[in-house]
Amino acid sequence: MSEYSCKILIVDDASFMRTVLKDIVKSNGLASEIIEANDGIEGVKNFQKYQPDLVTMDINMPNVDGLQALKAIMKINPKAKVVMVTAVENKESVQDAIKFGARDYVVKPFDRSSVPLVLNKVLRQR
Amino acid sequence: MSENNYRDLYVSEGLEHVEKIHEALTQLENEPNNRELVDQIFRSAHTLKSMAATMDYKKTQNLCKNIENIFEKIRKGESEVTNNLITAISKCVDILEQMISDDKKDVNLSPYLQILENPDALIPDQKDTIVSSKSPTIRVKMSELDSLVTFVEDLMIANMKMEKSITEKKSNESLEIINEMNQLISKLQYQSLKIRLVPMDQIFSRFTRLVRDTSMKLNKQVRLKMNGTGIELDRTVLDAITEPLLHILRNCVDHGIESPEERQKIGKTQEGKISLTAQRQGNKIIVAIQDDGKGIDVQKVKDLAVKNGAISRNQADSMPEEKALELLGIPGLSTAEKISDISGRGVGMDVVFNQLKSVGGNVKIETKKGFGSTFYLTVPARLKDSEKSGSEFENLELISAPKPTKLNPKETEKLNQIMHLYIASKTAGALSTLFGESVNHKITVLENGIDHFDKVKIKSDEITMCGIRLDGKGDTHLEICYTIKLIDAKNIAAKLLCADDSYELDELGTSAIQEVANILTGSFFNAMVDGTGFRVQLSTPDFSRGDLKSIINKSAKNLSDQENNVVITDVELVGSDSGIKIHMMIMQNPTDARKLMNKQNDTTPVITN
Repeated sequence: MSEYSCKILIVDDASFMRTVLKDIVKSNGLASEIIEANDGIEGVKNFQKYQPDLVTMDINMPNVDGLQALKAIMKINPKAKVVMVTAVENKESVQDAIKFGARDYVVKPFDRSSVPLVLNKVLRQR
Repeated sequence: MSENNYRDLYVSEGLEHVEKIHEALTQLENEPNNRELVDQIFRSAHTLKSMAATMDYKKTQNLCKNIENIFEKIRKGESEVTNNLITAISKCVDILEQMISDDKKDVNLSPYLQILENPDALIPDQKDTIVSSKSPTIRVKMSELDSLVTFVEDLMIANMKMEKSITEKKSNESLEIINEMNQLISKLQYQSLKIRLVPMDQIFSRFTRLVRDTSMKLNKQVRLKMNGTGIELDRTVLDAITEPLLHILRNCVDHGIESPEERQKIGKTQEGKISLTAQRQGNKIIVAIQDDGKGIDVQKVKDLAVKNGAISRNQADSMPEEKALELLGIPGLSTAEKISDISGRGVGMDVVFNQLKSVGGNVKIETKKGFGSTFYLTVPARLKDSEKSGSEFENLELISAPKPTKLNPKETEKLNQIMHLYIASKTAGALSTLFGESVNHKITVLENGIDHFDKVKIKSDEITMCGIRLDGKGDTHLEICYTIKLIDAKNIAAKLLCADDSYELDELGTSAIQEVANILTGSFFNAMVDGTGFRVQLSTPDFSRGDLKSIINKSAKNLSDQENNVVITDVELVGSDSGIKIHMMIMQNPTDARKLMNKQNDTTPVITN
C-alpha cells in the first residue's frame, strides 16, 4: 500500500477504460478516492468540485476533447497534475498536451506495470 | 529575374495594394475615425510608391506620394476624412489601377492631383476609355502551381517509361503506362482549370464604389449589401459577368430606387436597398440583384417593344409578364424616361442578356410594381477553355473532378505489403498486449470495388454482428470498419473485464469492444504516421450493430463519390490460443491509397517492435 491518500479523477468516455484505470489505481493503492467523468465537460466540472490530486485525461473524446478540457483545468489551477491517456501516439497532440501543462502521458493498451509507475511519478512531483 | 518578371510581380503586388486601399476606403466611409483603416491606406500607398520608384514609374510614384501625404496628415490629426476626400481618393486609385496594369498608358495627372489638393471641388468625370490589350492576370496559390508542376513531371517520367517499354516491345507494360498517363492528363486538366478559379469577392469592392458614386451623383441614398463570400468562378466567367452586374447595379440605382423624397412620400425608408447575393447550385453560380425600388413597368416595356417593331400590339396584349420582361433583351429598348448620364447610353439590358448567353448563362427578371425588381444571373462556375474557343461558347461541357481509377495489380500488391508492415509493426502487437496471447494476422487487399467485398472471408453468421467505424482525416483519409462475431465479442469483453464466462454486451461490454477498436485503429495510425509522416486526426468511433454491408457502404460514401472504386484491405487478426477473430477493414479511395504508396517510397520502412 502506498502512503499516499489522494483523490484521482479519471476522465474517459469509455466506461471500459475507466474500469480498467480504476482497477489499476485500486490494486496499486494509488488513491483513497476515485472520481469519474465521461466527457471533457464533466471532467472540468468534477475537477472544480473535488480538487483531485491527479487527473487522467483521455485525448480523443466527443464534444469537448481531452486537450480542451486540459486547457480549462490548467486555467482553474495551473499546478494541476494531468496525465494524458491516448490510443494514438499522435506526437502532435501529445506535444500540445505537454505544452498546455500536462505532466505525462500513457498509451493504450496499458502495460499494467508501467501505468502505476507513471502515475506515481507524477503524484510525487511538486 | 528578367525585367519582365519584375514587372509581373510589380503588377500583381501593386494591384493587391490597390484592392486593399479600395476595401479600406469603403469601410472608412462608415467609420471615418477608424485609425487602422487610415494606417492601412497609408501603408499601401507608401509601399506602392516605393515599388513604383524601383520600377522607375515616375507618375505612379508621384500620385502615390500625394495619397500618402494626405493620409500622413490624417494620421497626425492635421486633416480629417470627408466623403469628398474618399471620392477623390477613389478616383485616384482607379486611375492608379490602370497605370499599374498598363505601363503604356499615358495619364495626365494634374486633374487628379488637383482633386487631391481640393477634394471639395470635385471635377467632372474624365472620360477614360481604355481597352487594355493585356491578357487578364490572376493570383494563384503556390501550392496549386506546385501540384501542377508535379503532374507535369510525373507525365514526363511516364513518357520516358513509355518510350522504353515501346522499344523493348513490352505491350502489357505499355498499356499500364498509358493508363497511368491518362490519369495524369485528367488530373492535369482538372488542376489547370481549377487554377483559373478566382473568388467572387474580388470584384465586390468595385460594386460598392459604383453604387456609392452613382447614388451620390443622383442625390439618392442607397445601401448595397453583398453576400457570396467563398464563391469561386472561372476568371473568364467572372470577367464576363462583371460588366453585366455593373450595368444592372447602375440601372437599379438610376431607374429602380426612387429619390429620397419620393420614397418618403410613399412610406418607404429614405434609403433604398440593393442586395447582391451569389450562391452555388451544383455546377452553376446564381447571382441575384434585388432592389426595393419602384419595379419595372411591364406595360411600358410592351409598348416600347411594339413601337420598336419587335412585337405586334396583339402579341403584346396577350403576353404574360414573365415573357414581357424578356423583351428587355431586345437591343435599343430602354424604359428610362430621359436618357441620363448614368445609364441608358445606348447600351441597354440587351448587352446583359447577350453577355450572359455568350458564357452559357441566362438572365431572369422578376418585378413587382412599387416593390422592386430582382435580376437572376445564372452562369456555369467553370468553363472548358473558353478563351481558345473565342466567342463560340456553345456546347460547353462542364468539367468535373477526375474519377479516381482502380488500382492495378502491381499497386494492389504494394498496398498489401505496406499494410502488412503497419499491422505487423504495431497493430498485432497492441492486440496481443490486450489479449495476453500472441496474435496472427492475414492481409488481403480486396479486388477493387465495394461490390466485391463479399470476398471478405467471413461467413454469413459473422457479418451481422457488431461493427465499429472509425475514421481518420488529415493528410489522408481512412475509414476502418470492424466486424466481430457476436460470440467472439462477448469473449473479448470477458477477457478484458476479467470475467470467467463470456460477458454480455451491456454498456461496459460494448465500451470494452469499442476500446479494442480504438486501440487497434490508434496503433495502426501510429505505424502509418511513423512510416509516412502523414498527420491523421481520429474521429470518435461510431458503434452500430447492423449488417456489415450497410456499415461499409456508409464508410464508402464518406470516402468517395465513386463508391465502387473504394479500396478495401481486409486484415484478419486471430488470437493464437483463444481463436478469437477480428476483421479490420481499412478503406480508402484510390487517390489516398496512392498517396500512401508514394509517401512510403520516400521514407524508411517502419521499425518493428
